[in-house]
Amino acid sequence: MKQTLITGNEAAAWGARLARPQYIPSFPITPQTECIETLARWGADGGLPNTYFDRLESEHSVMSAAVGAAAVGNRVFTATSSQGLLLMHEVLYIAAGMRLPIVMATISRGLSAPVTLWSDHNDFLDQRDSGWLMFHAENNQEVLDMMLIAYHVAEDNKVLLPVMVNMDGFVLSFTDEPVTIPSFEMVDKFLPDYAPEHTITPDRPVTIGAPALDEYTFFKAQNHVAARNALGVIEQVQDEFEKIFGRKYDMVDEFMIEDAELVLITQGSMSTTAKAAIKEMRADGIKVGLVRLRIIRPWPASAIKEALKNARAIAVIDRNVAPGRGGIMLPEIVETLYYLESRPIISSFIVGLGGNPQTEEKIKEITHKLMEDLESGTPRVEWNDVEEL
Amino acid sequence: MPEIKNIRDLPEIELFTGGSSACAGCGGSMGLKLALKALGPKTIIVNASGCMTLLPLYPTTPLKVSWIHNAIENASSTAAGVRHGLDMQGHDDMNVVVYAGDGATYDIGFASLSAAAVKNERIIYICYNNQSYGNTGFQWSSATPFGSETKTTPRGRENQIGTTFVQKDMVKIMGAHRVYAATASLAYPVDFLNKIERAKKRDGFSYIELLGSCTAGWNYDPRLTIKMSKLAVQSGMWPLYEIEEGILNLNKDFKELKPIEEFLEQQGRYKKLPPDGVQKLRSLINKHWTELKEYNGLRYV
Amino acid sequence: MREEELLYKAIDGIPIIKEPGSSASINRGSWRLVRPVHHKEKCTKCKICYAYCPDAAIKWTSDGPDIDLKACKGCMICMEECPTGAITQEKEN
Repeated sequence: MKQTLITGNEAAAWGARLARPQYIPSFPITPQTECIETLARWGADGGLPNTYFDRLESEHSVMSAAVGAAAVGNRVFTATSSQGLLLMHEVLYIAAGMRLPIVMATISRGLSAPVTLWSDHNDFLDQRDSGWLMFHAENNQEVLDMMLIAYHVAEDNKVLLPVMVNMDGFVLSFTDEPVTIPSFEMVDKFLPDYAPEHTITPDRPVTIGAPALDEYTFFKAQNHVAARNALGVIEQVQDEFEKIFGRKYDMVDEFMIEDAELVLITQGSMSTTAKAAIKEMRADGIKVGLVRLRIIRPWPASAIKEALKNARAIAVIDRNVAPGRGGIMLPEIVETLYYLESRPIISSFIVGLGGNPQTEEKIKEITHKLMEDLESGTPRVEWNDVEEL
Repeated sequence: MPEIKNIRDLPEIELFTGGSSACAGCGGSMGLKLALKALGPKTIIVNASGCMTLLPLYPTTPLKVSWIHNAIENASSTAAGVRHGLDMQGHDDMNVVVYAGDGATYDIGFASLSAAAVKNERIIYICYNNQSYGNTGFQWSSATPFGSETKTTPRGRENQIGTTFVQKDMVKIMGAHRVYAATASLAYPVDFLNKIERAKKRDGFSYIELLGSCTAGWNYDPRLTIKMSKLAVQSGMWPLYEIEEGILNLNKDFKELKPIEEFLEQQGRYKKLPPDGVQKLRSLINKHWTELKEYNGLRYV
Repeated sequence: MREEELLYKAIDGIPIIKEPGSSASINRGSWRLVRPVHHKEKCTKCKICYAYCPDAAIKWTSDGPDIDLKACKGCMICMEECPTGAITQEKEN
């Protein structure tokens, strides 16, 4: 099939366009702007015939308007980054609690203070308790594909939860990559019409968003059960996706893992660089592999455990930091592997904050340090890009 | 509902039931009940967090129309999403109505409200104003009038006035957005309902601010809610007027305003305002009233 | 309850209130210290009490107001505003 050079922003916009959402609220923030501008331009040219493109006065209002439209049964899309994503934080919980299957593209950018425009994952991972499902793409093709998978999963009656699809800012969002853009006909085969039963319709007065006292825990538990249902639904949907579009996706992305003693765990665009570095290291005889986390919520514990069960040393590469605690993914991985018969050395690498590029060289350094840790039997916590000051 | 002339013509449609936990004598609850009579069943209410939010309490609700509550500062943006969502499905005959308190409207939701008005969204925004953050126990909002005591502007040794700030002229600000803006009082329900009917017919944004007399917050016997709502109008503390296309229309004119003391003495929030405070309050009210009389029938914003 | 025992309840697990006007079944009469009493002979069916009841506890019939003592909280606005004194108050027992 034909491939087109498009940026990550355009890929997200295409994913949205193909899903035919009825409402797109927008507010600009670097590095997402091109995504909403593309949609606005298509709209003005008649390319979004069944969509209302709206502009709100803040990201908090963008998500609030998304909730309003979703609550009356619309399929909704929006996009944001960084400070904007954090500004809508309270409404994210409300959207998930109301079980509204909104899909949002998040374009990862580091958080103030100090200000940065470049990419790291703190903004995205900060939303991991909100009840949203969270997918993280490695390249622009996966951005587009994840958008379509997201709608299908979100609107499934066993799920009914909002989904965010993350891409790294600038590196993907403003960079052209070859992408196969499917046709509307193919997507219509894959994505059924959205026909909710829990939203407001004119003939059926309901109250949404009321307080609940004794029943609060029950509803929160249902939110959790729905998110766990999503584990099975994502697998099914990804199978369907492969049948129609020909591209295969698993719960985790395993690269050269079969006999790997050393495993690097990454997320996002950095994984492409890491894979290239691993190929070279393999050629030098180093038994290293990669596990790329692409589904963050729900947490695919069994797939992760399966992928890592033979590793002797693991480098959790966190492109984020929780000051006072460390890398955000580290405890998640450690807890997942706690009951393994033989526990690997797990070292933490905090890298790429504020968009610092992680080159193949740096990945090789990480691997060598991990080898040292396996030798010494002592894990480490290592920060990249700090000495340069 | 066609415009009505008399309380006798009040529509008998019932879209609001009893059984909620609103205070006995609640002005906000009364306003909601009355508004629904003009709005009719093809209505979706978007509520901002406040006293009214607790009227529905899982699993019961007094509402017989759809109601969505999101958070405190985003009723207008939520309503914009509801409006376009409905329109995209062909339900443009549904009223989209915001019912929000003054805290949510004047303060934390101001930006959201302003943007919806700038875009002239087909939304009817009804603010029930009890001149405070009522649901949290009566704290200062930028709708709190000069001289009113609240829990965050209390009277004390250092400060006898209580609230030293003058409240925001919200109706004029909304009038400056070039949308329909009006005040209303529970003691003049015919006027209130007719204003809502007028808002329904407009192809754009309407802002109606109802004085939501508050027995718990203002500290008066619940049976006096209508008396307070009437005195507020007659003393000039809450004039009834509307602004359309920038032109002012004073709905209720008086040859002479009633002295404000009658209003102040009956409410705990004003009772201990010292004479110099009363004097300043009186001059603020007179200045506002004079301005309204001067611009009546003329371009006001 | 162990997490594995949690069952997915689909739409019933979503916090929406599906029954309009369901608050009407709640008794707020216990709030009252006094209760309104309507005297038909003085009533001119002006609808003022019907308009002003904050809890919609006064229903309107062809015979005039009908006070629902389950919903009535005893605020006595109806008595205060009745122009003919057709509503009086008596102590709640």
